[in-house]
Amino acid sequence: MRIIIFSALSVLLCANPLPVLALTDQDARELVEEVRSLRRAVEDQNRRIEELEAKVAAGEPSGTEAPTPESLGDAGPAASTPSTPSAGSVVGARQAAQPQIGVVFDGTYTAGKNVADEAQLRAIELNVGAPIDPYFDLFGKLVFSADNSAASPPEAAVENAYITAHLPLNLEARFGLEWIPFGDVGTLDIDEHPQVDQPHAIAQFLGGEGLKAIGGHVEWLAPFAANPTLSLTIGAYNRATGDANTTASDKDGDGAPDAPDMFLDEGAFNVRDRERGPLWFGRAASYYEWDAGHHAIRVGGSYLSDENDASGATRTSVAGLDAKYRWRPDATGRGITFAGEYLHHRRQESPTTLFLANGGNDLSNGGGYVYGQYDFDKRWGLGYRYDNTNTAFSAASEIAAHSVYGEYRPTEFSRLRAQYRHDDRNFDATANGLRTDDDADVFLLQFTHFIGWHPAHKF
Amino acid sequence: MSISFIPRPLRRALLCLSAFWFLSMPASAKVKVVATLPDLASLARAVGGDLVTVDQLTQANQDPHHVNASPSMVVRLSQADLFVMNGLDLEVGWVPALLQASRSQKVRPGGPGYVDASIKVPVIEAPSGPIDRSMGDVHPFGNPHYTLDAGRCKWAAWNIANGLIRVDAANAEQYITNLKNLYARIDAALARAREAMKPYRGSSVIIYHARPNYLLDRLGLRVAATIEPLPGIPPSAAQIGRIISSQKSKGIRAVLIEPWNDRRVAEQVAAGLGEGTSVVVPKQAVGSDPAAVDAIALFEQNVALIVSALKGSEGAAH
Repeated sequence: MRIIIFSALSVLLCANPLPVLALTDQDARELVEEVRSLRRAVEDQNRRIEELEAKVAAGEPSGTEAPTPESLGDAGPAASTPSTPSAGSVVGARQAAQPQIGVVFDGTYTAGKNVADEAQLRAIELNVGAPIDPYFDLFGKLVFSADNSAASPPEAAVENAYITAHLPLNLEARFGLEWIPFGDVGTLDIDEHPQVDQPHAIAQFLGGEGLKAIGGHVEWLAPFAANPTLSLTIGAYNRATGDANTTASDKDGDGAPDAPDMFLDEGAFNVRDRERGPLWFGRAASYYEWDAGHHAIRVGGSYLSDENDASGATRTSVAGLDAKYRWRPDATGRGITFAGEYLHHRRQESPTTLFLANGGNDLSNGGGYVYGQYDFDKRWGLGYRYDNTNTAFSAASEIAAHSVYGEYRPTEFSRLRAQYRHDDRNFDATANGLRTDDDADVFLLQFTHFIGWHPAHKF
Repeated sequence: MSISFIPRPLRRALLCLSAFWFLSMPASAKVKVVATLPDLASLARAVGGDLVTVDQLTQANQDPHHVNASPSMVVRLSQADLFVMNGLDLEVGWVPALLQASRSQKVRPGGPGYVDASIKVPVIEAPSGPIDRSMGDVHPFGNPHYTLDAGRCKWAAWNIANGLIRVDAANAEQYITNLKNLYARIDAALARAREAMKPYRGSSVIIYHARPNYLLDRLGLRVAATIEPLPGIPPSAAQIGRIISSQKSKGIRAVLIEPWNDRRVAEQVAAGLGEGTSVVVPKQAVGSDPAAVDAIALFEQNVALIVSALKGSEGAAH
C-alpha cells in the first residue's frame, strides 16, 4: 500500500512538474502534511493487518471482532429490543412472535386388590401461553380425556384459561378459570404431581386433581423481604368444581367400593354450581433458602370458605397448612425433598339434614400426607408417602395409606413412574354401611411425556 | 388526622412494619443489577464498577439448564433496575417464569432494564436445518455456553454496558471507560492464552458434552469426539467402546467433562485411550474455584488446565 502511494505521488510529480514548480510555501507545507497524514493512515492499516494475521496464525476464531466501547453511543434503541439470537435468528424471531405451545401426555396402568385393573390415558393436555401485551399474559390449557370407557367417553375440556395482570405495588392479579392456589399438591398440574396418584386428603377435600374455579385472585409479594419472602393472596370465585369422587364405584364387582372412592359424603366443595355468594380464598406463604440456595423451605397456610346454600345460613370451610423442604447440594440432580400438608374440613349443617344424623354436631374431618423423596441424580428417584384421612361421618372411619414409588427420567421431557400403595381402611360400618375389611393393594404405573413448551415447574 | 381509632397494638405493629420497611430500603442510589449466571455478574461488576450493586441468581456449582425458579428470585428480580441473562435458550426452563412473575415492566423483554447478553455474540453450532427432540436436548439458537470464552465475553460486556447506559445515562462515560479497561484486560488474557497454546494449536480433544466448545474454538483445539451420543443423553457401554476404538491411535491427550456429569465415563474413555490421556474438568463458572474470581480468571484457569493436560504433566486431572 505504502509503495503504491509513493509510486502514485512520484508519477504525479514526474509527469506534471509545472504545478509543483508553481507551489507556494503554504501549498508545499499543506502537501507535506497531507503526505504525512496518508503515511500515518497506511501505517495504521498495516498494523491492523498484522494484528489480524497474527490472530489467524494463532488459530483465533474468525469474524469474532467485538464491538468497540465507542460504538455504545450508536446502539440506541435497537439494543433494547428483546432477545434475538444472532444465529438461527429467523427461527428465533418467528418463535418469539408466536404463542408458546406444548403438549403433555399422561397415561397410567392400575391393578391390585379392591381396585379395577385398567389402563388409562388420563390426559392429553394442550398448553398455550404468551404475553398479550406488556401488561397481560394469557395461559390456556385444553385437556383431552381418552379414557374411552362407557362411563367416561372421550371428551375435551378447558381446564385452565386465565389472564395474568402485572400490577404496581408488587401485585399480580389472575382471573379466569384456574386451580385455586390452595396449598401445594392441589395447585399442581397432573404432570407435576410428586406421585402417580393424589393423596386421599387432597382427593377428599379439594378434588381428584385440585379445586378448579372461575374467579380470580390477587397476590402481593412483600418487596422488603427477599429471603425469607412473604406473599399474601386473596381470591374470590363464583363456581368451583373438583373431580373428587362423589359416588362410590365398584368396578371390580366385589360388593365393596373401589379405592379410593371410599367416602360417601360429597367432599368439601365438589361440583357446586354457585347460585349464592362467592367462595372466598386466602393464603399466606413464606420461602426461605440458605447455604447458597442448597437448602430451601416453603411454608404456607390456606383457607377456603363457602356458603352451603342460597340462604347463607351455613358454611363449609377448609383450612390447610403446607410445608416443603428441599436439599440440592450440587448440579448432579442429587437431593432430598420432604413435604407435607394437613387439611381440616368443617361443614356447618342445618338441623334438618345431617346435623341431626350426626348427633347435633357440625361435620368435620381432617387429613393430610407427608412424603420424602431421594433423587440419586437427574434420572433416578425413590420416595415414600404416608397419608391419613378421616371421614366426616365418623371419627372412627379413616383411611391410612402407605406408598413407595420410584421414578426414572431418561430426559427432562419423559418420566416413567411405578408406585405401590397399601390402603388400610378402617370404616365405622354403622356410619356409612361400608365393610371394614376392604383394604386395598394398588400397583400403579405412569408414563408422562412433554413436547414443545411447558410452563416452568413450581418449587 | 387522628389515628386513635386504630387499636394500640395494631398501631405499634404498623409502626414496626414501617420502620422495618424503611430500614430495609437501600441506602444508596446505585443501579441494581441482577444476573442469571455468576459469569455475567462478574462482567456486570467490571462494567458497572462502584456505580452498581450486582446480585446473581445461580451459583457456580449449579447447572444453569436446570434451575428452579424460587420466590426469593422473584423478589430480587422485582427490585432490579437491570436484568442480565445469558440467552440462547440456556435459561429457557426458568427465566421466562421469573420474568412473568417479577411484576416489573422494567426488566421484562422490551423494557429498558432487560439485557440478553448473547445479542450479536458470534454463535457456533446453530442448527441449520429442522430440529426436534429426537436429536437430543438441542439448543435451537446454537451453543449457549459462550461465557467460557473470554473473547466472546466482550460482547456480553458490551451488551451489559449498553443496558447500564439505558437505565443510567448520566454515568455513560464511566461505563464506557470501564468497558475499555475490561477489553484491555481481556485482550491481555487472550494474548497470554495464544502464547501458551502455541505448541498445541490444532490438537484434538474429546468432550463429554458440547459445553467447552467456545473455549476450544478460541484456543484452536479440535473436538475429535463427543461422548454423549446426543445432547443430554448419556452414552451406552457400546458407544463408549466405539469412541475408544475409533480414537485410540490419534494421540488424544485430554477428555473434558463437566462436574455434574458422570466422571467415571470420562475416566473410562481416558483409560481406554491409554497412558498420557487425562480427564480435565474445566471450571464451569466464576466462583467455582477461589481463584476464579471473574470471567477472565476463569478463562485463564481453564487454559492452564488444558495446557497442563496437553503437556501430559502430572496432576492434569482436576
